[in-house]
Amino acid sequence: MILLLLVPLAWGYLLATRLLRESQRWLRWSLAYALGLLSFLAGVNALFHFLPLRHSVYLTLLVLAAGSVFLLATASRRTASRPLGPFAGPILTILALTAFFEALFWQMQWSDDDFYGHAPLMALFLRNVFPPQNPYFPTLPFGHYGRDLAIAALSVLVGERFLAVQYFVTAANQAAAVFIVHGTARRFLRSQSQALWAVLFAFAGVNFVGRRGLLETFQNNNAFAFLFLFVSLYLFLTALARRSVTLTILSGLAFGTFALIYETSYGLLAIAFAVFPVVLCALRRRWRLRYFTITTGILLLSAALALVQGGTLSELAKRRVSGRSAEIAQSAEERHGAHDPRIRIPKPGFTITAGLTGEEYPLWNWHIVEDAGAFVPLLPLTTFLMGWWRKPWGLLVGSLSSAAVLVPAGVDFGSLNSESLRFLIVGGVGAAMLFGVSLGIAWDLASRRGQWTRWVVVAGLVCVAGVAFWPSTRVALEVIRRAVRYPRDHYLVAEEWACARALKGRYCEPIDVSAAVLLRPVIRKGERVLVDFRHDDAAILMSAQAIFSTIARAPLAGATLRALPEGNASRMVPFVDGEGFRARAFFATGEVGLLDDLGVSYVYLNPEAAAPGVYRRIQQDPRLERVLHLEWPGGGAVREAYRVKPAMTSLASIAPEGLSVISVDPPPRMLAGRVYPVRLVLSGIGRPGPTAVRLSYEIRHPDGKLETWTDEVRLPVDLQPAGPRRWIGTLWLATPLEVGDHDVSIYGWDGNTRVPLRGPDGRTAIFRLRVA
Amino acid sequence: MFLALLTLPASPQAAEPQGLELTILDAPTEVPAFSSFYVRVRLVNTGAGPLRGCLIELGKMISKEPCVFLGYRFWKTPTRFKVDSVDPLQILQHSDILGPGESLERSVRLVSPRQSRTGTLHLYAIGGRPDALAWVHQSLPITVGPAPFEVRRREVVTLALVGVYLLGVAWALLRLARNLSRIWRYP
Repeated sequence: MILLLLVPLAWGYLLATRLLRESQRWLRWSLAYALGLLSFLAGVNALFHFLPLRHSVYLTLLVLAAGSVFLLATASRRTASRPLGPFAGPILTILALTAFFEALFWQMQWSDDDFYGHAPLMALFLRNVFPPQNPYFPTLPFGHYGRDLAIAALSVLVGERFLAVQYFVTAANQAAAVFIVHGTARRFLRSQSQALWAVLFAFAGVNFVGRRGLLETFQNNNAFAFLFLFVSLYLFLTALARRSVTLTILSGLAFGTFALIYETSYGLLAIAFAVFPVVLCALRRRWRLRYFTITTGILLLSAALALVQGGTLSELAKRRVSGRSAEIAQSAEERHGAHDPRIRIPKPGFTITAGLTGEEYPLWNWHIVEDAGAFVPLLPLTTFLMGWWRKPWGLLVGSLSSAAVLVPAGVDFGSLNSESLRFLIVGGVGAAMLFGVSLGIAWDLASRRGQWTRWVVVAGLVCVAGVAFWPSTRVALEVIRRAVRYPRDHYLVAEEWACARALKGRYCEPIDVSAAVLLRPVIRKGERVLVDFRHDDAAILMSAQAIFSTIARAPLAGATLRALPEGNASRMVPFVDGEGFRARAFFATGEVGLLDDLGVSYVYLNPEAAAPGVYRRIQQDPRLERVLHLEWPGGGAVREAYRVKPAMTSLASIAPEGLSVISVDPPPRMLAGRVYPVRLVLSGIGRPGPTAVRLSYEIRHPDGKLETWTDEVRLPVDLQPAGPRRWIGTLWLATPLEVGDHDVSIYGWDGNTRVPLRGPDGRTAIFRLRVA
Repeated sequence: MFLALLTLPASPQAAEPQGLELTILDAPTEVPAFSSFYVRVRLVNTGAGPLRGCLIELGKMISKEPCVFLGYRFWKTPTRFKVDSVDPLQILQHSDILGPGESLERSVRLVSPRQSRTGTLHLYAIGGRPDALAWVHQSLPITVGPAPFEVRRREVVTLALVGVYLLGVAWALLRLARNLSRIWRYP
């Protein structure tokens, strides 16, 4: 099965040799890998809309194999080969090997930065969940998913070990990107040394947002985004140079597929491509229609693909056409989650929003060096030099880099403004490459001068390079040193890694991993699991949930967390519960009706964490069937899972019309994120004996902002008579995560109609609670 | 596995136990190296005030109010009774409270050392005011056996990958040196 991986590689190789007629050997192989991977992704994505993943993978391989045979039989062969130079060859080999192994060893230890979002998505793809579904918030659509789909689909050929596939594919992307950047620059700059300096500065010479060059920027989508950004640059320039319709179509399709991987880089490239024909004509002082037609063809084809294939752009187009935008994303936080910003041009103030703090700063602020690297302030100068030295490649990269810096300042993306780093990193890499090319030009000029001049320039450049490359070299050496020193801490098997990653004493339980493995064959597509992971630290809680979701391959329900954007900052803000109110209410009461509201199929719990009475109720409830009881040998840890059976009869309860709240008696001291019994005295039911009513509650900040906007806890409340037309009941109240004062209003339910309960004064009953 | 294991009195070096009682209810006697295992314990707050879970970050106590956590150390008791001289285990969340006279039973997860050996596992309940923590000690005889197959496999795979990297770099450096010397001799 693993040998089938050669099919996309063969197809990519034939594209690189027969269609692109690439003569540089290493570039050819790197393109073979990249184009094979991109074609595989495009095919699987197209078919996955109609077929299960496994079928999509095999059918795509069949199509690629047929295409390979066709190319083999029809396209002409080119045998000329241009090897790398005597310096460039070994230096690039070391850089590519370092890029590969640094990415590999780092991932074998830590897997990913945003494991929380990416790994469960890949796991759900393997359950044929498509279009992609947010593993924690099923109502929120997912944005770009190309990288995760490519990895999940490839893992079908290697026993679905998708994390191991991710490690090797990401590492291979890094190595391939080294050769593609170098090969493209070498071709279009016509200089070995300029190309070498460009790639060295891109990978090892630029420091941004705490990362040292592209060598250290491979986590999440980055390795895919940069690899295919460089591939798109190569294809665009090649299509312009060759004037071939086939290459224009190939470039358009490849560029369109790139939109599935990273729409921000796609947008930046589209701007740079659109500008480039004008720049090129100005540079050559001659207007050539074909520059415009080829560029238009590539952009139109890619846009057509990007708008229908799936992902963020397709989703936006779909909403725009159907006018669903307003109904899907009412609030700022929903728009943020749904990648549905309200875009305004120009952005007031022409400032960039800092990624981590949400602070606004102008383009000339020193902050931009922290976010995009030290070479961005030099960008106007280096771009001017590219024009002066008539370097179209340099001007294209300069346009890309400039667009990457100007777009976050000029376009207001609303709550997504703090995603500015996605743009600025591209700007920083482009600026670093231009700086490298400028040094390469100096090197080339010096090599034509006398010996002394040459040595002085060489010494100066070596010093600059030493200073620029040292931070990334040090990090790379540290990663390798750790691999030598702690080989046991480097994992390829997800189940072995899952808990080992956590620091000692952190919240990760091997028994949860084992339970997730056992539940994997039990849970079916479309079923959600209510989990009961509890922790004060949001990062630890999210990590535990992500590991469980990834290994069980199931979407979760429960106290999942989501960022609540406030103004510009979407990252450093308090978290709010996803469905935590209902989840907490269930684990505090065992009331199965809550599970129907949550739409979950399984409950996973740690019996030790449940109150004895609640655990007994869960065990005895006829609607809950135990499907897992796992005991860890020695130490007594236990986990259980229950299947939720559908309700046979609807709950008998009285209509709440006419009910009013006489008094509410909460406990004197309540803690945040807990559940407490609140004693209610109601009046207005003229019926004898005990009865029940279905109640829910809304919790608001004192300023009126709704806190339970993701959640509504509906509970049956047993009522006991307490005098003429008076009743006493207990409402289990889940307190919010935020401490302070909150206003609670109570509602009754008549079928699916919500009726506010009135107070003795006839107005909606609201009581204030304080949580500590 | 079976329970109520040998419990020894508090170490003489430890501060005087105050307001905490720790009992080991169940624990394995033999575990593989570099692996997770569980120990079931009972913790009783015998003091006069409530205790929260301690907040500890990078070996430093963050909590300002009376709190409790567990710590463990294999083979030797710590010479200094500081938070960073044991591996901490959170038995109680910071937002949870263990009131006076209340007790809780939990299975806590420990990680065995990298090397095989037979000796003593030292388990501590550490609690009280953050500036005057009381350490309650329990010890447990334990044998750490050889690392499981998966651990050894990981070692071999990682070192093999490192070998490939080093060989590749050495080969490239050799080529670079050869090319440089060639250019030096025949400029």
